[in-house]
Amino acid sequence: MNGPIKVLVVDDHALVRDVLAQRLDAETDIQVVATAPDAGAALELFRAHAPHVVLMDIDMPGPSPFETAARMRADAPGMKLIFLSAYVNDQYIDQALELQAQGYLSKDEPAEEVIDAVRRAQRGATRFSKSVSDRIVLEPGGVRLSARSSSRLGLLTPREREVLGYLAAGMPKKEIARLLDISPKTVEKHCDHLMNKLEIHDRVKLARYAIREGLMQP
Amino acid sequence: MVEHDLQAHPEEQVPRTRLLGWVLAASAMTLALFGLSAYYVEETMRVGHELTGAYLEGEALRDLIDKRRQELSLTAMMLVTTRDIQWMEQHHQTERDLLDAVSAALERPNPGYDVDALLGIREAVRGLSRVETDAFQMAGEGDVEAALELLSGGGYKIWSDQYSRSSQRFIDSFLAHLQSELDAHQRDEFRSLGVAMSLIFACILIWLYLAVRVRKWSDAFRSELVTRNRLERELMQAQKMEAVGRLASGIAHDFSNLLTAIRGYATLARERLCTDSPARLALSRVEEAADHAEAVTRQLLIFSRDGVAEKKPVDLVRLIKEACGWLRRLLPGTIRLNTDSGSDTQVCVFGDKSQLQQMLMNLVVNARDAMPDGGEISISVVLPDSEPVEHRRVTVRVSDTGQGMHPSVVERATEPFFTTKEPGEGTGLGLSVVHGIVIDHGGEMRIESRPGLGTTVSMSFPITEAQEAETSMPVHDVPVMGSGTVLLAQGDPYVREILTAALEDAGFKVSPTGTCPDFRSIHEKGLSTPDLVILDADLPGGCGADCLQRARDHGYHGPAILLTHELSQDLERLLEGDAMVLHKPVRIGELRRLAVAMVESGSERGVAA
Repeated sequence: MNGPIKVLVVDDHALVRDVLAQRLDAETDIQVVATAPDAGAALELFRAHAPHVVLMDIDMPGPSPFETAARMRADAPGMKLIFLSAYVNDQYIDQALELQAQGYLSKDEPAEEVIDAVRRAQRGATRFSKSVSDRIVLEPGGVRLSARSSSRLGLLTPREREVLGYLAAGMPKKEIARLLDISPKTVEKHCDHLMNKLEIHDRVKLARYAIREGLMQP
Repeated sequence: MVEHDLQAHPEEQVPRTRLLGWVLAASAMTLALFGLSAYYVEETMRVGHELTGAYLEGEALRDLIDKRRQELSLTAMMLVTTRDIQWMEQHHQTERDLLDAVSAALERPNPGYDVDALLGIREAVRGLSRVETDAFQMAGEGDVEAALELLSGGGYKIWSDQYSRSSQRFIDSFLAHLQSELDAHQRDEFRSLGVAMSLIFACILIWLYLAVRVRKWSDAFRSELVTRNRLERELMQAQKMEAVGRLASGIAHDFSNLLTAIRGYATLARERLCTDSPARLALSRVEEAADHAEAVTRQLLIFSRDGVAEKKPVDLVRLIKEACGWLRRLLPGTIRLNTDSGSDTQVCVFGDKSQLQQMLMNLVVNARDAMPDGGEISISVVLPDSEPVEHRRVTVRVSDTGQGMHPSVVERATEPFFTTKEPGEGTGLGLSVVHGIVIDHGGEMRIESRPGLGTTVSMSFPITEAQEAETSMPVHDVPVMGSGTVLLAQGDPYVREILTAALEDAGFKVSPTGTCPDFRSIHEKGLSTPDLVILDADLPGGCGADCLQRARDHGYHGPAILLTHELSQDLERLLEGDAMVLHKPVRIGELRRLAVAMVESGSERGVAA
């Protein structure tokens, strides 16, 4: 891409908006084309300046920033979107993921992180803090945020569960191979995978785990 | 001891329908008693009336029989002696009256009359009459002496005796009948009295039971009123805390924005100054102060529960054991810290470890400040073992032997910025942050305190099963880092971007592709020599498993992860080499961990080979 990355900064706090704009403008490859105090003004400025990246605060008076961002997306599908908020709120992150935002940053983040996020967004990459990205769940239809942890048993394939049951019962791998009518090498592979998935590399612990999960009777 | 319970309790309901049922039952029994009593009174009066009537009738008959007999003798004697026709008429009239009365008694069936006795009387009257007729005839013929002799003779006496016997028999049988009637009635009376007594007893029992129940219900009602009043107070307190929380959250938000500006401008100004400018140090101090202020706003956000909490199963026993070490460093030598973790087995709650540590720290610091002359702080874990597993809660108690608090202070202890410390010595956020953390963890908090006798703060949390703690997907405290190249094939551009960023954050160099042909082209042209291949099973332009097979055919023998939402054993069987099938939904953190593990195991096998 030729020319600087054109950025629109949206924040209802004038001080924050200005310091952010100044800090971004200080970078040679970034140009803040406009700043807006609310989502309504942001939409007009977006249509006027066609920025590459929109840096949007979430907690602002006036129109919903998420709805405004969706309208911006509809106008220019290639635009990049980064949300910036004082709150690391699951509901907000979920809405940001639904909008396929390139990032969700807390205002605690150093300015360098914001600048890096803008550059990554322009490249098409995303930037979420690790605590957020670890909890993002890949689903058949896309991504969402998971609030709770779930059992690792769900990671196992049916065959791996079967092997786990036999393994936990103390059955030798050759015997398991014979029972399942597969090669010992394949059994070995299943064992490696299930141990990696469960992060349990000890047969005794595996047996305890299998009993607890109801895969076998003690 | 003042207790400030911060959680609602279930209300006790008074069974009003049951009360009404019992009142109706008791009233019905009482009505039945009155009805029965009225019936028996009526019945008794009727029987009494009948018996009296029968007695009077019998008595009149007996009287008539006695008197007429005497009249007959008298008139017969007078007629014989005087031969006055007037006595004759009177005699015959008396005889007719007597016979009519006896006939009438015989014709009217009365169970009390002895028919044989009456027949005997009638026969005796007729016998006497025959003797008297003979005597009258003799007297009429002038033989008065013979007539008088006849009236006092044996034949007359025989009939007279029969009359007396029959009369006596009649009287005896009549009296015996009356007596038996009376006896039968008396037996009925006793029976009725028994029934009435039973009813009275039942009524008394029901009313007594009702009185006891009403008393109990009244007590329950009073207790419910007390509970409701307490709940209303707690609700008001909760609403107040909620309002204060919103206020605190708003303040923290605005304050955080201002701090961002302060820090940003300070950084900008510092960077624009020459490296040897003395103002740089001052600006650094401004940045540090902003960081410090930021920490205070984070506390406010924790209180208002707007802060981010990374929850996972946390072993409270271990947490407390570990916390002892660093908590001791907060205490002077005059304060002893005792911990009782209850058991050696793990007791897990689903929570944020750092917030739980902060909760302990705030409580210990408060306890320390309440004991300027030294004392003892106890932290204990109490695990009830009688409740069902799904309702089990673990209680953490932090108690001190300090100054304690007045009830009015306990009431307000969890309000933010409420402090009894000297200005500048406390922010007043300690207990409010603890309260925020406890509520955010689905817990309950109770403060028990009495001036001069110390304070105990009890916090109970729902227990998460230990198996979940061991086997759930944790967010790793230590970042999982790998190295090498990952060839990623993912159709959805947004998911691909997120995956790429996550894998890059883990230290991988990522070559992202969006379609099966792109994947094949990158691999077959040797544009990427991956250490790991991650493919989505549903790729535009082909199946992920086929793509992997093509890569294997073109010499890729490294590890692979196939992401799929449809699990089949055929798929696993088809995949050659070190290929892991991962079922969606899967957390990105988990995928990243497995990617690192797969690359490590792949490289170990390579080294071994």
